[in-house]
Amino acid sequence: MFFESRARWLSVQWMAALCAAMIAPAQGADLIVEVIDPQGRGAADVVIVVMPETLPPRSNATATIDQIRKAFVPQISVIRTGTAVIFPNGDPIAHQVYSFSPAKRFDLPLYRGRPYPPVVFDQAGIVILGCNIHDQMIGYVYVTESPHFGKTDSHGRLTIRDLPMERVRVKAWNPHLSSQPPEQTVDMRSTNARLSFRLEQLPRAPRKTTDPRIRDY
Amino acid sequence: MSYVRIGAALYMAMALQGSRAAELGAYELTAQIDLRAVAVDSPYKSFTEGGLGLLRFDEAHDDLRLGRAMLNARGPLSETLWADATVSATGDHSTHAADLTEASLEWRPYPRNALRLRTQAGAFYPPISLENRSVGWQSPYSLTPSAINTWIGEEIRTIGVQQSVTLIGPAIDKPFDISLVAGVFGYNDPMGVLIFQRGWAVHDRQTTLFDGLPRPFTSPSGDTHIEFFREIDNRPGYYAGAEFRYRAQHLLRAMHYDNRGDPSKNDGKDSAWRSRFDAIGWRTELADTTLIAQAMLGDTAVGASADGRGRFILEYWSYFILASQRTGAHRFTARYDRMYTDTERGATFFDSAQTATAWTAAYLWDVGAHWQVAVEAVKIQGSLRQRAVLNQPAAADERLLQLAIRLSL
Repeated sequence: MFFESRARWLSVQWMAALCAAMIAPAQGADLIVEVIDPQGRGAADVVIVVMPETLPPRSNATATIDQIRKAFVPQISVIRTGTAVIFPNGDPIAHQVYSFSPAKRFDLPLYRGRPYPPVVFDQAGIVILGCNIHDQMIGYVYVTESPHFGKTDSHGRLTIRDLPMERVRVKAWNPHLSSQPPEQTVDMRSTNARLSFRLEQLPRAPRKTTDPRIRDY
Repeated sequence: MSYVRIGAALYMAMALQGSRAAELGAYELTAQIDLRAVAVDSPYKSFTEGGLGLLRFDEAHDDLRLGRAMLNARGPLSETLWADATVSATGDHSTHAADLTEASLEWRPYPRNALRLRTQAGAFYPPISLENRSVGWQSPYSLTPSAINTWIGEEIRTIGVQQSVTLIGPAIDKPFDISLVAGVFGYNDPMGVLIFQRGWAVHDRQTTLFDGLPRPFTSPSGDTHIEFFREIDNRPGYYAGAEFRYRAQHLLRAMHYDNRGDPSKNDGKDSAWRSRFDAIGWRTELADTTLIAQAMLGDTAVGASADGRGRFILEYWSYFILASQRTGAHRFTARYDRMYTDTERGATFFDSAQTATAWTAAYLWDVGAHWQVAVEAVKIQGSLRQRAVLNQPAAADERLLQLAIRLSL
C-alpha cells in the first residue's frame, strides 16, 4: 500500500512538473530542502511550499486523492488553489467524503460504479477530509497560492525545480506535528540553494490496523 | 436435522454470491457460513442443552457443527439514514431456523463542525465490547469472545434509542477524539437470569431477538425457556458512557448500564431482573499488534423484598486480557478470562456462586478474500456451586478444540 500510494503521488508530481515546465520555461534555479527530525533522521511526508514574490497566473491543474482500504491516498496532499481534485474511490465499498474546513466545505458521496465530478479547491488553507461512513478516515489537503511545492521523500528530502531567481519564503508543514517549524527565506540567486528544517518533535502519524475484517461497532 | 440447516445455509450463501454481482450502489451485503469440527472434553451438558456447562457444545454435541450462518445487510435509505440488519442461524435448539440478532436505523448527518452526531434506533449492541468489531458482531481475533462479551451476546441488546456525540480531534488540531454516548431501552427485563443461574460462559453463540435459551433451572411458574428481550415492568433502562481515542491507536471506554428492572414485577412467564454494571475497556493497536483489556462489575436482583432491592441479589465481575498479532494473512491470539459471581442475598434458597478462569488460544488464516480457516482451543477451569444442586461436580475442567472453515461473500 505504501508503494502504491507513493507511485500515485509521484505520478501526480510528474504531471504537475510537466505542466509547470510547459507554462514557464525552465529558469534553472533549484532548491534542495531537507527536513530533519530530533533524532537526526529525515522526516518524510512533510509539505514544503516555496512562496515567490510574485505569483504566476493559475493553471487548470488536477490532482487525485484516492480511497483505498478505508484510507485517503495520499493521506497528505499539497495542491495549488484552483486545482480540481478527483476522488475516484478505489474501494469496493461506498464512502462519503466531507470537509467542514473554512477553506473548502463540501459533501461528496462516492457510491460504487458512478463517477462524481471533481472538487475545485479555490481557497488557500488547510482542508481536513473525513468520511461520514468510516469515522477513522482522515486526510489533509494543503492548498497554497504558490505553484512551487512538494512533499519530502522517505529520506526527508525534496528538490523543487525552476524557481524564480529571487528571494523566496519557504514553509514546512505536517499535520502530525503539534507545532510547525518557522518559515525561512532563501535567496535563489545564490548558487547551490539548500535549506534544512529541524523539527523539535517527531511527526507521529498513527499506524492503523489494516485488517479488512474490522468494521467497528 | 442440523445437516439440513447447514445445507440450506450454504445454498443461501451461494445464491447470494450471484446477486452480489449486481449493482448495489452503496449497499453492502455480507453472507457468511461457518462450519466447525468440534471436540469437547467436559463432564457437563452445555447450557444450550439446558445444562450447566459453560461451552456452547458438549460431548454429546460435538463433531461437525454449524458455527453460524449469517447474513448482514447495510446501506443508506437516504444519504444520511442507514439501515443495518443481521440474520443469524446456529443450527441448535433455536425455535426459528434463522432470526435477527440486530436490526437498526442510524442517522449519520455530515459533521458541520468538530462535533459528530449519531442517532441509532432499533435493536443493536450497546458499545461495550472492544473485541466484537467485525460484521455480525463477531470478533476478528478469535472464534470465541471473552466471558464479558459472551454475556453481552447472550442477554443484552439495546432495543431503543442511542445518541452519541464525538469531538473530532483532528479538526481542532488535537491528536484525540472524545465521545459521549447515552441510550434508553426497553424489552430487556429478563437480563440477568442466565448469569444468575449458570454464571459466566465462554462461547460465540449470540441470542437472536425472537429466541432464547433453555433454563438451567425451571422457574417457579414452571417455564423452561428464557426469552431475554421482553418488557415486564414498563420501566425503561439506560446507559451512559464515554470514550477517549488517542491517535486512532489507543482507546479507553467506560460505561454505566442499568436496565432499571423492578424486581418485584412478574408477568407469569418471567420476572423483571434489576441488572446494573459498570464496564471499562482499553485497546491499543500498534499496526499489526492488538492488546485489549476489559472489565465489568455489577449486580442483578430479582423477587419482591421489603426494601425493594430484590429477594435474590447476585454480584458478578469479570475481566480479560487479550493479545493478538497479525502477520500478513495469519492471526495469532491469546486471551485470559477471569470470572466471578456470588449470591449476596437469598443464598439460603439458591446459592449461586462461580469462580473460574479461561484460556483461549486461536489461530486464524485468511485464505484469499473469501475463505478463512481457524483453529481454537479453550480451557475453562473453576467451580460453579449450583451444579451441586443437580448432583454434578461443582468444579471440573472444560476443554474445547475447534476447527472452523468460514466462507464470506
